[in-house]
Amino acid sequence: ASAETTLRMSSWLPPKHPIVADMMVPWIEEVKKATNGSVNIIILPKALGAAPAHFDLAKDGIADVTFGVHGYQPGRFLLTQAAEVPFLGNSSEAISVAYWRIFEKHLAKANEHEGVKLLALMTHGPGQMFNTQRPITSLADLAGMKIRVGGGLINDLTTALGATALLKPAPASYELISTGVADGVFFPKESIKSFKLASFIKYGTVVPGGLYNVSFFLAMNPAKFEALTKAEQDAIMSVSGEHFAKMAGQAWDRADKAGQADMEAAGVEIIDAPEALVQGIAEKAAPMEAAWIAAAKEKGIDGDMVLKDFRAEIAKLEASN
Amino acid sequence: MFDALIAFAALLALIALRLPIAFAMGLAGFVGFGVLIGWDASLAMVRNVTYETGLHYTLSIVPLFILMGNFVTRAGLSDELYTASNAFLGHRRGGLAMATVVACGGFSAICGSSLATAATMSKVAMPSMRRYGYSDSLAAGSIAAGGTLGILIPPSVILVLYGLMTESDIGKLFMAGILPGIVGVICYMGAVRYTVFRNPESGPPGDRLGWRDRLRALRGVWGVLVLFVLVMGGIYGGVFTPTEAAGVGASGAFLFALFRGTLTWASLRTILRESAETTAMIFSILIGALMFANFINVTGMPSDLTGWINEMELPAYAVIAMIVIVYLLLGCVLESLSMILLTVPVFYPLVLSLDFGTAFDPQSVLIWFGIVVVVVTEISLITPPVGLNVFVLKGVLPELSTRTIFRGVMPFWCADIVRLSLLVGVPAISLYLPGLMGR
Amino acid sequence: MTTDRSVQPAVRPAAKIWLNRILGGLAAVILFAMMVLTFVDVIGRYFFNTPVEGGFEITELMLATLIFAGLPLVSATDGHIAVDIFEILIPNAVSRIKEALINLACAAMTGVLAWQLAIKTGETVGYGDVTAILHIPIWPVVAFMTATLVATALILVIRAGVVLFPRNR
Ligand code: NA
Ligand code: NA
Repeated sequence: ASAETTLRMSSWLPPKHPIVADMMVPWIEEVKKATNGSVNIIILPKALGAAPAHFDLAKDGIADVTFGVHGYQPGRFLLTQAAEVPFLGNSSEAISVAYWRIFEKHLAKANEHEGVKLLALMTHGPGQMFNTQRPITSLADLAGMKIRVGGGLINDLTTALGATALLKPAPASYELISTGVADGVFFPKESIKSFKLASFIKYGTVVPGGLYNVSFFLAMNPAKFEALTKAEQDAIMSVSGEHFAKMAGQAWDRADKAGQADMEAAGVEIIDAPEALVQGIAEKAAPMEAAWIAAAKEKGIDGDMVLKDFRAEIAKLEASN
Repeated sequence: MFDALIAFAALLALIALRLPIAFAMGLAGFVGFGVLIGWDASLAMVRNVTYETGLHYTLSIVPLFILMGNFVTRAGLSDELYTASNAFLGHRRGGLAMATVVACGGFSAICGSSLATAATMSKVAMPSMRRYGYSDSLAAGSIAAGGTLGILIPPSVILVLYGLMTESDIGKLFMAGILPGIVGVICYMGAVRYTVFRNPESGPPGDRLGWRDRLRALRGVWGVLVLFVLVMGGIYGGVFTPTEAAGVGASGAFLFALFRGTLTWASLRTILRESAETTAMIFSILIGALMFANFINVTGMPSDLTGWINEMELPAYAVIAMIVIVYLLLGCVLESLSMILLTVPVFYPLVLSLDFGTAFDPQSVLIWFGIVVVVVTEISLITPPVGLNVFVLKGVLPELSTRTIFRGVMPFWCADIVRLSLLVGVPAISLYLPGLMGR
Repeated sequence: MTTDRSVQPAVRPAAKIWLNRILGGLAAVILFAMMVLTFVDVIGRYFFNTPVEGGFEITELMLATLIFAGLPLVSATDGHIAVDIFEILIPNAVSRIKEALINLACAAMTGVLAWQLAIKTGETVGYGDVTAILHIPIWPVVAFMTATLVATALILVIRAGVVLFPRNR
């Protein structure tokens, strides 16, 4: 291939956000290198649609490459909720790599990403509890607290835990927390820094393995993918899939460390969740996991096996690190 | 870059043909995107823009602030504002016009739109200025200019849209508009003084009221104060978000109109319906502008522009001056909402890339620039040949000639340029109040 | 404006009543409901710690309905903002033809948009798109948007006819 192809990526996050600066930009470099400079991806100055539209932007060819959150389009993606359940793991790298592996093994055949060329999947670091009011050491501390959440399983879990869920987009967090409309957020540590919340948040409670997670996709317009040469396609896939999950997961983990440092500097009091609280969360989450397994069954997927495989894979990866 | 310039030219031509602005922008955006990216993608683009703009939570602020303004007018709060400012200023030469400007400022504090402010105040202030023998040009000029304050003093629909486009804190933008709005009132009063100094016949003094009557008149203002404190206090005190403030403010204004007995079933229906129609009109423009903005986005014009400016290594304030001049020129022919929607996506990345030394942190630059943009937009509302506030006045008072109104507006336009220079040169006027927030 | 029903053909008042009563009434009710919903949501959250569940997604669905109920009304009254600075330069007859063409062009654009939203309606049905908390299906609102766009296109065609052949009365 001699002709140069330029692909347009639409990003709904600001250029300095870790996803853009530490995951997309390096990946774009890798694509360029792997294709010997024949595939060039540019990030548009502004998104071509709202965050939830980014799956359709790639499907309809409005943009060539996009990334997004499965949970932003409720009702569309069921199986990807496997990556949203509590206690998955302590590192985004392990979760994301394991996620791609079990996706290929169990979930891909259900074809939930029909209409796009799926390039990669990932999750952020373990989601935790942060608030401006009091240390959370039991479910009683959480009762009635107004928590901003981003949708997906965590929304139902928040309500089940006795808190009041305010479902608003992530960029609204600053407005909600700084004005006191919300008392807290469920976020990975990274987001406390990137949404500038450290000066308002006073308390953090860390749940081992994470309270929740968010499932992301990286996708491409299928016609644009088909138009590339076989060599170019292979080159792109060689730096996507599990390779991307590993690279992005490491970046998430670094961003979480930076978030932790930011909170320490701001004097946020961070504690580990006591055993009773973890037990309480597990009890509330169990029926939700059961409901997911039942729903997955209707799509011909053995959800129970998926979750077991997923957790075993994560444990294996975390142990090997 | 070149494609973008051709599209801008085509857009202006379509608008000059009297194609509604919303359709002109939509068409230019659709064709441009189709040529550059592909027709199927372009069809999908207009479909997606229409769908997601319709179902956009934060934009619910637009109909609710419009509704608030309509209830407030129905409740008679605009009359009380004018009576009160008249009691203090009316006996001076040009006093009724100054009172008009002050009442416009007050009304702006509870109404999110400049057009609504001008329309309302023209019904309230014009009759008494005529009774006292004011020249039509001064009377109309003070209303058309005073009305522009509606989008600067919070609440403001334009500041909300700017905040959404640049991901700036809307609460801070609202705070930032207050002092520049007061500066605007002072500058406009100066313009009235200048007009009556040049031509004393244009604004004869009215009756002087005693202090007892003045204080009585002042009591009528409490309704406006309550609503303003409700909206801004609620945002500042963490009771609700700026988006929710619109719904709370509209509810408050509704209760005012209800308890004052000014609402009937028929008037309630008219108010709701008119607000809904205005909403549909604004969203048509919004949807068209977003289609055009998507096309501009894929032309790469914003990044090209930023690249060029950075290459030329111009001082930051020279770039700001150039942007302001572009806005003043565009303001001659473009309608305010479309102007903001078209230009902000092009200019704000550029402004963010400028090096102001230690004068601002990045978030403050956008707050300050937002105020500058809103002020140049205010100016566009009274700049010929397409000055929407002038047209609004002409709609309410058809017997006035457009030329008379534009002549009366001239001194106010000059006062606006003075204010603009002040706001550009002294960012603290905009940034002092928001700086007190969120500490 | 007063309308003398006796001299107008039956179709016009019927269409007008349909527009005014149904769409105008719907828009009015929805706008009022949006206002009350926000108020109740804020009061409930601040004083009683119980916000309206899914309040913001109901607001979103209502906003779309409000806008698109208002669209035919605005188009019927020529309520879109346009710039007529050059109109004085154009002879009356030419201007009328131009106006009719503009209305037809707008009708065509609205028609294209209606076609696209019909596609979107199909997609939201096919994907089973629902809101996040209350799991309300989104497709009925998109179908409503499509229907009002069709109505708007028809109104613009009628307006083109009225501009071109004004009835002398
Ligand atoms: Na205002
Ligand atoms: Na103008």
